[in-house]
Amino acid sequence: MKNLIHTGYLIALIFTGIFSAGAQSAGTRPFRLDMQFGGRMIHRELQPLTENLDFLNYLNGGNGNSAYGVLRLGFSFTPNDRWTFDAGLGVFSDLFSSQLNVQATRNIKAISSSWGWGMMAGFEIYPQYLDEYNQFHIQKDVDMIGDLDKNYRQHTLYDLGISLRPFLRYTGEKLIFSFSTGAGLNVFKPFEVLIVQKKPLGNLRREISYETDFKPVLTSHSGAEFSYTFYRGEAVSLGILAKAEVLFGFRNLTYTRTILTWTADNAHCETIYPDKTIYSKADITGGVFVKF
Amino acid sequence: MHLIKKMLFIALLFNVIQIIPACGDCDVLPTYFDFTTLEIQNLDNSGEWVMPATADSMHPAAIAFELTIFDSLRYYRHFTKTEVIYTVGYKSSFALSDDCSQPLIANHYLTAIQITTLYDVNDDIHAGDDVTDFFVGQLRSNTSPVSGVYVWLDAIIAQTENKIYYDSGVEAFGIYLKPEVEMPIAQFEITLTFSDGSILSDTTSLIHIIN
Repeated sequence: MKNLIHTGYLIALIFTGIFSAGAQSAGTRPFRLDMQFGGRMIHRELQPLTENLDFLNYLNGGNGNSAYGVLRLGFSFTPNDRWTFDAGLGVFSDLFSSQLNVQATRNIKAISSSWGWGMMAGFEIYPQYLDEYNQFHIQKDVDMIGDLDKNYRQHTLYDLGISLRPFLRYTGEKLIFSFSTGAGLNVFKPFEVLIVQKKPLGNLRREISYETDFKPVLTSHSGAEFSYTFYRGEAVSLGILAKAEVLFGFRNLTYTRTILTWTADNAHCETIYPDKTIYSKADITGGVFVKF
Repeated sequence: MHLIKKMLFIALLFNVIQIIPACGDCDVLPTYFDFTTLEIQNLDNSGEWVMPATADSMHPAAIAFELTIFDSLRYYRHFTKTEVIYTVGYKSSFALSDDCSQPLIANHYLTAIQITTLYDVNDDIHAGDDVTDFFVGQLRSNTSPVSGVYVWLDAIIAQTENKIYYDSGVEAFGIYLKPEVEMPIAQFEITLTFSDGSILSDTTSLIHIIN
């Protein structure tokens, strides 16, 4: 996953490098670096406890809501009036760069001197935590020691997505504002976990392995960006910006469950489809930028 | 003078490179041994971890023993002789006592395990019955609580063929009874047959069932 993020970032940088000659001749300030800090809220309706584990019930916090502080570093390149390319890295409090977004924006038509519209296409990957999903077995399998692994159970669940969004943009002297909304495909990166159980006062051992599926789903993506340039110097411009992004979809995490009892013979395999329900992610960030 | 400095530098470089391969040789020849002794140890498998039991009592669903077979001479860690420095300067730099594991190969391997109950286990399993198929096993090296499920005894038998034991020629594995014992006592006779036709046999201690 780390390699994928780094590769994506590298591709974005190479891509921007291809256009750099044209940008220099344009005589504008094609590069923008920004640093933003903000929050990410993920909400997924808690589902009732059933016979089958629903991993998404154990999103960070275990109550259907997760909140993360996010530090984002962005790089933007505008080689000409038509195209803009963005690449961004994000980190949580561990400062591990586990989130990436790359985006290409094409201005299609100017409506007036200030307003215009276009299309943007992007790729995004971001993490979130599944915490203590073994509680499902501890609560449900009361006749067994629910999970013999006493370590804190946390899995980093990556969500990968692509999106295509038309946008409307206002470009003023100092103020730029854009709003976009569109659709995309998102998928949770598959993972495997193992739960080993044992009967108290007995020899019986059971192994439950989960292998999640790669199932992309249709999602809705919307975003708004506001930037204000408060200083224009000879070489650089400085400003502030704020971004809001919302992802929305009906999602679940399907998996194949294999249960072994006593020995590896007679494995009981079953594909489980937890109920689809509303899943949303909202990012709100703000920060400063420098253009050069 | 300048030439001498260069030569000294090259000599120094050469000697530094000599230091780098610091691992000793590990071409230790295997030692052959026989399985001559069988030991049976009670196991306490009532909790999360399996551990040696200090008493002859077990829970009815947690009947477990560890079988250990070894050469009565016992093989322990062997160390190779210290290399003697015999060249001018030094031959190379490495640990004086190599941390090489001593390979040990048994002259014969397990071909069968037979377990007979000496008392009734329940209404279906009676004294004198062959209960081998009611037992599952687990290698001693794999007794972590999260190690998963058991293996059939056939798998334990099969892994002894062509096996190289490092540092100690000891084969140890646990055996676990699947059905619950419904009687107040239990005892089993265990017979191991080897590829050369030799047989090791012993009886478990008389187990008192905790109700």
